[in-house]
Amino acid sequence: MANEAATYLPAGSPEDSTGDAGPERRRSTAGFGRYVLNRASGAVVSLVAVLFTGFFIFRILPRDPVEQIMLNTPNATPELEAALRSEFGLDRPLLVQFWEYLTNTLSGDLGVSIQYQVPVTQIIADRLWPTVLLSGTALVLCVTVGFSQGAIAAWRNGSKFDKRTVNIALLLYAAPAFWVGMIAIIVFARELRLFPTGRMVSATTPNEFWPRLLDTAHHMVLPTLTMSAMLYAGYLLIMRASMLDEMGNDYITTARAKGLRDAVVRRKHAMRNALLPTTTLVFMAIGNVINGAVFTETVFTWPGLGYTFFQAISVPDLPVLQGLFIVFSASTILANLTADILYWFIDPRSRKA
Amino acid sequence: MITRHRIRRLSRWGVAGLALTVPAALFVLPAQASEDGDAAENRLFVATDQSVENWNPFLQIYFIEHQFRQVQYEPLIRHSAEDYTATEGLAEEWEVSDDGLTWTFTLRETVWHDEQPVTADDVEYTYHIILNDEVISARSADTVELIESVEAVDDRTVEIRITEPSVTLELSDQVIVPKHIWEEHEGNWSDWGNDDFPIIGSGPWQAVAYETDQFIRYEANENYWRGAPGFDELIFQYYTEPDTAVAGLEAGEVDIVGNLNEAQVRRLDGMEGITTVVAPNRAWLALRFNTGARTIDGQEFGQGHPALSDVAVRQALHHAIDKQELIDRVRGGFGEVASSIVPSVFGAIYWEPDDDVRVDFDLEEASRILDEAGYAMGDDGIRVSPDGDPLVFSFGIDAGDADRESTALFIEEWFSEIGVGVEQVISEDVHDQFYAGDIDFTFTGWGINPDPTYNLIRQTCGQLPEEPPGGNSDAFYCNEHYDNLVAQQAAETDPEARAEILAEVQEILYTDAPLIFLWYPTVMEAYNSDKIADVTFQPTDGGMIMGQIGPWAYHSAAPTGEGGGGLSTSVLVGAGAAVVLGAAVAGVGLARRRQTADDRE
Repeated sequence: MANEAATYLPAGSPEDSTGDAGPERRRSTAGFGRYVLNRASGAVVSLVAVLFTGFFIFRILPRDPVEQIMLNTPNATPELEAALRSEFGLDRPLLVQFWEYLTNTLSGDLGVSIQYQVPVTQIIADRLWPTVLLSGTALVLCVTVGFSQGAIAAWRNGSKFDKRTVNIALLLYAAPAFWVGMIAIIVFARELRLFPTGRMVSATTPNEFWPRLLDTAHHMVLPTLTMSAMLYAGYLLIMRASMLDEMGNDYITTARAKGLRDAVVRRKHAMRNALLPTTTLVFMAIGNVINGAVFTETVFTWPGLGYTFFQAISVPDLPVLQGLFIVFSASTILANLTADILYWFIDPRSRKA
Repeated sequence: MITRHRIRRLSRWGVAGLALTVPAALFVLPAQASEDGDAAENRLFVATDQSVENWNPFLQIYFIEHQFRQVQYEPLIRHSAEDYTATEGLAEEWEVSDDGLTWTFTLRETVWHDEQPVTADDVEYTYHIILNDEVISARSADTVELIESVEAVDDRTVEIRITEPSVTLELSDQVIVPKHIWEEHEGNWSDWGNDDFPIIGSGPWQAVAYETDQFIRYEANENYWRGAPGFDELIFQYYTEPDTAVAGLEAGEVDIVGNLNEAQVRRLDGMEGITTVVAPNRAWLALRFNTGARTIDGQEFGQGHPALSDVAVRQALHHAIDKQELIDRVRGGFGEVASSIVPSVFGAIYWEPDDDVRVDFDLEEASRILDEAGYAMGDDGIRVSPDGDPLVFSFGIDAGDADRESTALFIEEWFSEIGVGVEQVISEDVHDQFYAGDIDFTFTGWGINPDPTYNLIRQTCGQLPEEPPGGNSDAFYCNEHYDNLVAQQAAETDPEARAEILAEVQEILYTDAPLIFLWYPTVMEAYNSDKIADVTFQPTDGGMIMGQIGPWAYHSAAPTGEGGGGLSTSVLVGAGAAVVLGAAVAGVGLARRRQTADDRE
């Protein structure tokens, strides 16, 4: 981790920012256009690759969706089986199916779910908000906690606090999500009865704004904490490594020599520069917010996309899998593209590349 | 500078304040809920793990959707709680003409959920939808072929004419939908989601609200012809993980939980206020043999072992399987020894082997049968067929299915003792290989309807593939006598006469052994018996709750009046925890301050 972070030079260091400013500025507008085009074309190639793999990758699954559905159908008949097969076009040649998938997807139609028989876009739309809410909140929480703890740990490098913080974070990082979630449920839901075991709202909550808001917040506590506990280690370690790099620099010594308080030096000087290499990490995580957290959502019955994906695999519900695969990949690719573009503004060195 | 500092300090206090109030508010929430404790007591919470996305009863296929149809709609005829035999629904009585082609139903006087009367026109219109909608009629092609005409003779009489005698009308529990709602969607029935809540039906419960993957809420139908249900509301609540559902039951969050495994049942068994239900399921697990893969025209294909088309070999193998031992050792004692294709829960048509045909576990008898049929023991301990083929069979086992993998080990051991070798093929596509005729035997399992005709037909000659691989035949079995009996029972409307034919059908499968039925699995459920009284099981004697065909359990369940009570303690604990949390936050804050002071020195 430390090496990885070290490849980024501290952008705010004096020789860097003063030296480049003059001559670079001139060709920067033309350069920016080319830069964006470069990155965007890369993203487009990735998206096309996703579109193609999205179709074939799930056909490798050995099970036949209609057969699986028949096993779960109280009134299975050969007629129903045949009807379903032709309704979903599964009886047509693979290439014909692929062509249809390609043209439909490009016109924004992701097909119809085999298990639920409703449009995939509707399934995704219904579950997008819960996923964004849960993963987004957890992301904010673990970035905040991870970055601040990481910065302090680096600042007190080698101290008891440093060791304890890193060890606890790594322990939680290594623990299976399923297990942590189950323990949280057993302690806080089953024994203490402080929180519900899952879901987003209670069936008995009146359908009005405030009661629902409070109820949702109440339901969110356990899954959000579980998810953040598992994920903040990554941010902590990156921030810690990046901070350690910064701390060796002269400008820190200068700041201290000026008589600034330690906390101010840490927050205003070191941490700002240390944040740069973590930008990509955070943007990638924003892309991943849509993917949700399969295990957290499953343990806590969170009505999001992660669980839907998990469940679609067991059928396999091909249109849902394809649709989610495209949405997941596209969100990550686009978030990366955004990070790349922002780098132009955050880090002047990227303009040379 | 000063103002900026002050703002920052103020905002920091604000954050701290928020951090304290939000959890406090969350802990107060359960207290609010307990205020209307009576209402909570009158709600029945049921755990489910399946989602309903489509509320159109003609397009639904899953169990949870099946349950929706059972409680939301009343069919003409239901399957009784006693033993799944036909009993009254919307039809008070029904009779069939002597030629078996005209069924006359007399409807009872009752109303839809919106208090409009239920009439014969509604029944006529329901079949109008089934016969005329392209998607719906394709899915129920068997019904469509059967029905010639449906006519409302007067307000309360419907006459259905069919093309050949059949029990289907009596046993299909087809939902009847209200004409005054559905005719607004004339011609576009399968495009309509039927999702205008509250949904109008005539069953004991009315679906009034739902949230995707979270809950479905039903209200009691006070006008239900059997009388209003015991609870005011029925709520299906989602649990995607069975262990979470069990925790929910223990926490008093949900009242009925199904789909349990053995460990969960053992844990819940004997817990105060919780009653476990272990009941036989409407399903079986069997070994099926490649009895000679061939097309419907008799063209053989695949690499199946020729010895398995010999009845004697299959009978010998039947003797070499100790079904009870498998249930005890593999299933932890949860299961029931299976005899044939109809599970024991269907008491009226279930068949049990007499002493003169019963096959008991007896390795000596198995060896004797093989000796007699000319399969002599070879020097290497493997028998050889009269044609010189060693008796080594390929055994397809579904990869990742622990039960089947361990069952296979027992079977392999027993078979080796009678000189039959087994080559395991563990794969995810064993069934494709079986249908290609390349594997000698595999496991197979099915859920069975009160009318077992579909599964009986799967063993008829007509199910052999036109071209390999394919077809719907479970074991490439073909026996004309069997085929005739299956057709006869489907047309026999007298229950007793039909049961006799079904007994013969089951005996043929048992003695011919194209499939060896191993066990009927169990359904494992648990419910909060402090809160719920008077649950009707199906079958009433030792049956299940959640997997029922019919609304019996949810309709009969009534509050004991003793439930609840857990909330007040949880509020206390909550308040306590809020205090602890507040103290912790304050403590952390203090510690921080001291640290900055240290830093400064």
